Amino acid sequence: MFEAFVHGLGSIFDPTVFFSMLGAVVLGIIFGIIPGLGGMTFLAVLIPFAFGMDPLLALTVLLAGHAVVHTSGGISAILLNVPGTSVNAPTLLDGFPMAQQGKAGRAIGNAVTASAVGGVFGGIVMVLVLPLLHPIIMAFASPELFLLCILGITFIATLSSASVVKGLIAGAAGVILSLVGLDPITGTSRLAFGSIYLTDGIRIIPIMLGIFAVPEVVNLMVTGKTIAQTGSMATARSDLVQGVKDVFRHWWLLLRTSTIGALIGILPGIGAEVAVWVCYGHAKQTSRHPERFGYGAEEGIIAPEAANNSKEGGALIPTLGFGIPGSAGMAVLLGAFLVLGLVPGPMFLVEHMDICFAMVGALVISNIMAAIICLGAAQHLAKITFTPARLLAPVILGVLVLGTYCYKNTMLDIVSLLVFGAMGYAMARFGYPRPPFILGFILGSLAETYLHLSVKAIGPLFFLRPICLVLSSLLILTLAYPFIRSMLQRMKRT
Amino acid sequence: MTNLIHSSMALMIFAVVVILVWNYPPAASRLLLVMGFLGIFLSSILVLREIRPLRKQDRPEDEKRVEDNRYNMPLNKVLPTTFWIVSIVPLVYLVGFTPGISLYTLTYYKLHGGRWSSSIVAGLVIAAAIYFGFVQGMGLIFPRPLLLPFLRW
Repeated sequence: MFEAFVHGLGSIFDPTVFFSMLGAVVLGIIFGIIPGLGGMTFLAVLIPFAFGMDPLLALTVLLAGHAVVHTSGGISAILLNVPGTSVNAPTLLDGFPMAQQGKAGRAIGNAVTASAVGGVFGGIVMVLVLPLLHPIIMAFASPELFLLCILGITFIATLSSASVVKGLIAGAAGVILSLVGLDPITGTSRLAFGSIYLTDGIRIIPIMLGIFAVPEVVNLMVTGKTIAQTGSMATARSDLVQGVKDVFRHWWLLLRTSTIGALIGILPGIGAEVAVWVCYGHAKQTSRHPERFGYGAEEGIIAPEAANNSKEGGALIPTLGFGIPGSAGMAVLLGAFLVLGLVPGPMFLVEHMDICFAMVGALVISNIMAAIICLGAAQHLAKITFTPARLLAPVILGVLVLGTYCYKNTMLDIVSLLVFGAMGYAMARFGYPRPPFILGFILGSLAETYLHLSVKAIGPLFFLRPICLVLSSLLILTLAYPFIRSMLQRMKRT
Repeated sequence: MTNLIHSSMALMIFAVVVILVWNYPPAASRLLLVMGFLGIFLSSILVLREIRPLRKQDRPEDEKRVEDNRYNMPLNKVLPTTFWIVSIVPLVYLVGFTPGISLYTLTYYKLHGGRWSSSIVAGLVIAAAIYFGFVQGMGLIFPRPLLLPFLRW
């Protein structure tokens, strides 16, 4: 074991591996900052090049680039109110208001440092948790995973808006849209109206970019203002340092959310999207000033950014240990294993422990590299917020169209982008929160699969299992929380 | 009134979903029906809240928040913007992605107060970024523009 540890970590510092990783990190940052590309596109583009490469080099390079995509995705969320990846959506809730207040540098400092610390933490967790892996994963069967999906959506619906009802409506709409298309169990074409495009299901990229980014383009075009309405770039450097300091000032929150992120990452199929929203909700609930959230609270950036990178370490555990992808990105990474002729699973841990440790090392080092690069370039990136809207709006729209098209190479996705853009604008205008809608969409099909398996295997009373009862109680508490809070506030007033 | 319209629309959409999926096999319709009925119930609450007149201080917090929403812009300004956004689709269909997006940037920038020189530079930079980043770098193949045969002629 120790020999594998030394060999695995040592191989990271081989010049070929190290500089290939550096190149992958730079590419990962670019993929993350461009809305619509993201980690899965990064992997999909690079996996064909992995064929014939040394497995250690190929896997460390792929993982290094994939691991840092969320770090730079936070920068787009802060500066443009457009999440670079769906995982960065919570960052924009507080990051963008900070950019508007002229504190873009500080917000970037928060996001990048929290991401780096979270990523390093995730790597350490992976090494520590490997021996405890089996019982944790086995405790969560389909019923528990179904309730976890529903809990995630409810959590966000109640916390992301002043109106619980509108939040839940948005979540339900997201789940319904995720189920459009061919049902994998019965083969029924659902809500497709005879369209081949809809039978294939609605895709995440046009919906995510449409819901979050297009309304922002509309706003830019109508107001014609720069994203930063106050402040100046001169404060960016000191703001950046302040942002780094903020993260360590909130060390306890950082530790908690990194742990939550890594633990959620271990659960197969529950993506980083859940981890970041749960951590955002946790940060808001435990904050002394929850009213600051949504208006530029640094904890609202630190919590999800720490979680999204620590989650990658957690997601590697079931991927390498069981061959079960811990996230959608890991599912794509499994393709790379197949290209390289490797089979992840218990035997992989025995035969290729050095590659496992090399991957942990790649995770840790790539996060540090990304933080240094992003912090170094942050002052220049912050300039984007002062670019005139008449230039920024068409450029963002062009990037959105390109990003949407290159996801599946179909023009209909661009039409879909505009349709969901109109929907996103209507939701924003009429006060329907968009995060629960997106989360409902992401988790809808997963929830359905788990529900089907639960009903088939255990019957309709599947929710009476012990962990399910705990999760159901949490669900009821989450729904009751806003009413209890307003009742307490009313009592305090009287 | 606006609130009543969008709440009723939400109610109608959820009702249509329930009607459409009612005859699907149970395994295919289970979660859709649960979400559909949940949507009907929740949007009914919104509709009822709109029908029942409320005093200003009793209005829910979210309604007050919607009024000072930064997306709450006058429609006469939003409609021309919609034209601009939608126009990018026929443009990339007709002349292709690289010239279409750069032409779009150039035109938008020029018509919104940009100088000719900076508009042309912006268009050229965008064209170069798409060509080297997406076409050469990622090997992306864009669909043939519809106007290509006419352009050749």
